[in-house]
Amino acid sequence: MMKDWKEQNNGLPASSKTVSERFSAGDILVIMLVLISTILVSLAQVSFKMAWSNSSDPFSHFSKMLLLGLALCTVGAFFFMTALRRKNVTFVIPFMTLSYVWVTFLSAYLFGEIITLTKLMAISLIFTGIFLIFVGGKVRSKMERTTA
Amino acid sequence: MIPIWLAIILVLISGVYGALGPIFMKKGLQRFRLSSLKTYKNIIISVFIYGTSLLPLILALRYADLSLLYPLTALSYVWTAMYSARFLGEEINAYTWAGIAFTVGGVFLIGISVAGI
Repeated sequence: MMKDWKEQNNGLPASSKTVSERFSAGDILVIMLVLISTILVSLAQVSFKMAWSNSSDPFSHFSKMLLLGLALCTVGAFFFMTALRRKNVTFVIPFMTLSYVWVTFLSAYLFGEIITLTKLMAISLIFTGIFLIFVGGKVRSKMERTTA
Repeated sequence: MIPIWLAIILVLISGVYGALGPIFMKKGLQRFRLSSLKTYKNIIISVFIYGTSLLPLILALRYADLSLLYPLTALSYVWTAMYSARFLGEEINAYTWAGIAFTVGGVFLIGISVAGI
């Protein structure tokens, strides 16, 4: 069985990637970084939405929420960059679509927006996609290990 | 109002161009050192691309209906994957392509639901 697996991958070119480019225990750290980033970005979008709501002192409320949103965006961007430094684009970028999921839940909770069947389908597609991309990374690193 | 095909082209241009943002970001971050100003170049290019890619989108949204355009923004994830294979040499296997297809489908559906079709 093991021999078959090796023979199957003999034709593959030797990997030119560095160790940090492969799937490793550091993946959990990257996933945490991306998760924090998506949560911050979705909170920023909620602040931008809140900036437009009415209040007793419209201007100061608007500018406060706008600044809060921009600050959240900036911190989120740094988490995103830290993750992207450690992991490839094909992994990190699709993972960022999780922010759409958090925005859907947050806007349901804060603004009473209805989670429709379409939105539920979208959320399940995004989760399935991220799972497949994770599996894809595992498969590749296994192939690289056998060829190395 | 501008013709709808022009609005669609503007959104597609925004996606094809904006998808270069993460590629330059990755290129910049690979060699990034806080003390070396030279390594900031690709990151600055990336931020510039992220910013300016919004211009055609805003222009299209200003003059055309949101409902048709918003789901199309999901396509930018496909361009990003193609660029990272082409310019960064990332290996994309069948699982990853399927995963990208699923996430794009998800963002597309979010776009549809936000647009209220």
